[in-house]
Amino acid sequence: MGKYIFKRLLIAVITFFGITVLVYVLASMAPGSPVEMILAGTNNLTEGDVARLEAQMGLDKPVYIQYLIWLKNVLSGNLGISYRTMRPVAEMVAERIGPTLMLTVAALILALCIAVPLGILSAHKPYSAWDYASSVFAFIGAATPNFFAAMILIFIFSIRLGVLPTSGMYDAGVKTTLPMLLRHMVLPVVTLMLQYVGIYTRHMRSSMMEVLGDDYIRTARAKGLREKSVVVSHAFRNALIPLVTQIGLSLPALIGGAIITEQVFSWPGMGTLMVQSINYRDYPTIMGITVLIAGFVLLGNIAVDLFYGVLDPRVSKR
Amino acid sequence: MKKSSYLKDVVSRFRTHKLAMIGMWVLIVELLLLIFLPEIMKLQPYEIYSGFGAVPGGEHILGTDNTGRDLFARLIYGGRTSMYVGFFSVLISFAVGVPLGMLAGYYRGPVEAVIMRAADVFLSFPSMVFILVLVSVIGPSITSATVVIGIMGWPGFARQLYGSVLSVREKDYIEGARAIGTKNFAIMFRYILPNAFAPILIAFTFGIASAILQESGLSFLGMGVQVPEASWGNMLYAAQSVSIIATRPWMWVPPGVCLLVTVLSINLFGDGLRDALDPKMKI
Amino acid sequence: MAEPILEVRNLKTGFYSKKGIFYAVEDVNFTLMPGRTLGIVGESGCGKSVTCLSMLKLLPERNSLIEENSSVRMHGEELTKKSRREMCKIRGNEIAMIFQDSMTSLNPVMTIERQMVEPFMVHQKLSRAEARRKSLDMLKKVGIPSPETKIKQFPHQLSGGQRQRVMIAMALSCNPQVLIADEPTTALDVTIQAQIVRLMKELQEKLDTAIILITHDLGVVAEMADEIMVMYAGNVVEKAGKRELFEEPLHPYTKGLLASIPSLAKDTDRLYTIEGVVPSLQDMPRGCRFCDRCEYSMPRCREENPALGRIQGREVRCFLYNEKQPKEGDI
Repeated sequence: MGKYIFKRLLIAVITFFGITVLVYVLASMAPGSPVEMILAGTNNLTEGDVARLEAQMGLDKPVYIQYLIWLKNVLSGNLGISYRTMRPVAEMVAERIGPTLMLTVAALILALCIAVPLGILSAHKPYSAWDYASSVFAFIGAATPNFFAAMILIFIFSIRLGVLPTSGMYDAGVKTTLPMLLRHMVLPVVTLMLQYVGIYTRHMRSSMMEVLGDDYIRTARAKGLREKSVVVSHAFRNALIPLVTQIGLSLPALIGGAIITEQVFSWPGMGTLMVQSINYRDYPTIMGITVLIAGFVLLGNIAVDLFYGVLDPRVSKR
Repeated sequence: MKKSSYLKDVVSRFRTHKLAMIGMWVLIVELLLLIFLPEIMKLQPYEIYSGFGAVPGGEHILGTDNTGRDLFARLIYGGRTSMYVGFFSVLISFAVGVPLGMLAGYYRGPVEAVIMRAADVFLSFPSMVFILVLVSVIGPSITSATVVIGIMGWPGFARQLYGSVLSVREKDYIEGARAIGTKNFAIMFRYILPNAFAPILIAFTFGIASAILQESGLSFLGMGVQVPEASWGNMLYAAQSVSIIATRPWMWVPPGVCLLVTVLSINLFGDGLRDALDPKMKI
Repeated sequence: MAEPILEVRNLKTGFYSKKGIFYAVEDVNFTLMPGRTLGIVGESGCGKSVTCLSMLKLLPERNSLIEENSSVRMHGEELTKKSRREMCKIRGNEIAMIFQDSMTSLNPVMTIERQMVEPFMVHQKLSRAEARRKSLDMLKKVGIPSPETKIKQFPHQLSGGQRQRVMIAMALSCNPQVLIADEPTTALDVTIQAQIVRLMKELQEKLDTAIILITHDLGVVAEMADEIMVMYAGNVVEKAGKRELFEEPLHPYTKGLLASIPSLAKDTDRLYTIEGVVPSLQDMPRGCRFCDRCEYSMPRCREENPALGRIQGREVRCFLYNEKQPKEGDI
């Protein structure tokens, strides 16, 4: 087990460095030098001023040295200063982590809570009305852009029924409460989750059906176990293993979906900050968010790997 | 002989897949409409008419947008944009991914390590974030959306090819070809590529659907296709305020439904194609 | 004479397919006495496993059926009409089963302990602690070294022989009257095979269990069985005591099977093989199912399938021995 975890960690670290290189290269291709961006609007600049600032920022050194300096800063928590707000990027991003995590984690958990039982049900009675309905739902879910789904939800629940708010995390100008936050969370979470419920249900169904045909299930039945305990104690855990892999694979897309969902609902997370920063070409912030998202996705992957190791005792051997 | 019967099998298997047939017909009709309607109806997607924000009916089937452009014309041209971006970006993914995957599978060693690790890096990171960063660097437009989405799609093809190469490279006939001195590239094109044909075709189909979704997402964030060019995504972008959602559903429901139907049809088609090409493949 | 434990009559099991129902097993009859071993022999796909799975109603309900007039009686009680719930009380308790591949037949994500305590907890309503103690006893009985450690491990951490011992321990834990062993030694090394066979014989003597042994390995049958039933393409073609069958096989198929065993005594360069292949379920011949591969086939063999006829206290399905036998359906 230890060796397995170490290997996964190593891969995660390498991937992380790969992403930082990529981000750095991309950002350095951007038009306009950082010095120009910072000094924009300042009058009476001499060549000497520019050169001094460049030296101060390390821009006179070769690119790979610049990258290493940047990386060192990133690893020590210094993500630079935002061009737009002139505040430290780390500080700005830190405020946004909570809301984004809240949204994505809630959506993921909710999607699983719906998809897992539904998938088992479909596998238990394949080709039934239930099964058919869930597969239609999966196809439509996967084909609906989440901003369109969000607009439909807003139309129904906020405009027609008037029961749920359309934007932000809290109502403006009043004391914030937990029920208020939950009410604001409903639509973004449902929007984000919609796509995954269908996909996870289909995966759960197919892995459950495959597992139910395995030899050890026949052994369990031959022991005289009731069908319910065959499914719950013998099939379930085995069927979860491929689903966990699928969850790991869909984490990046979940973050991508969160960016758009946050935008529709003006949710104050990293996604909205990202879009604002891009509109302002605020590269330190863009890079900071990107690196942070990379970190989160990799942490998520490690969590998935760990869970995988817990589920499947054979993993450490592979 | 054998080839034609394989094709016949594929076609007959595909025909039994009802939903896939529906998807195929919807796509055919849609493509015909996108190609011929602008000519037949003399649609003017860029012309600004006097009455902006007009309601549907009369001269403008779906009314006009906030600046006075005909919404129906824009809906049709938006469909053209989606198809264009979808097809060409996947073509780019294909052109980048296939050679890389083939190289990785064929040469192994450091080439393999670098290429496949890079693919992992791309796959383990939200492509939406990369796409946004890239677009912010090169500036938003139809072309940049196509190129960026295309480039981000390479790891899928590379992995597919890599897998196919690994599975055939140890086969006897490859050994034989190598033994009689066939050049590496000839081996790849003559023996390996045909083996990977079915999975690549399937990946291509699903790739178009996901590229269309990505383009619309990008345009919805204002980073994709820019007005006055039309795209379903930027039509929804223009209609995202609560007041428009509430009072003028004709501005956002048609492009949304078109997106859904298009992507759904492509996915159904792809699903049938996969079942027909290789009955053994799953999910 | 003692009462038979198990009586199988007219067993007929089929599978649904797009083109209709295909029968994998037809007209299977046998009786099992306490403490005895019945060997069922035949090539893969001949219906050996389907016969046993039908008896326990373990075939998937969705695509299989057991014909109405089939009968499986245990102590005179009809099993084919039992509900799912009632079958659960019989499986693992009165009739237990062990399977061929112990790697895939044990749950890979559950410890040996969790899998072993189940029969005790389900059938004997024991507490977890008691069930664990009993499981340890069983592991000792089947000769697993240091059972205290092994019981905490996962199947992949055990050797093939140890896993098969665990399977046997698990099957025998509730002291079943009948043990069905489906190719219990096939996946094992030869030396381990011998150990497992010895173990099963020992336990059989101790517990007086009746065993149905399914195998294509004639050596194992020779070692263990009292009576042998040879199956071909879903039919029983011959049934006889072990000694009689090995000394004088009657059915041409049985003759072929025995002739194809490599033997040191006989000085032959080539092994005997039965030409041709087993007919598939989809196109069973109208006549005898073996006639296409049979050296002795007569015109009549192509027209009708002979019934299982009695001759010298044994049974054989062949026109060579019972020419005047009644046509099918007269019985």
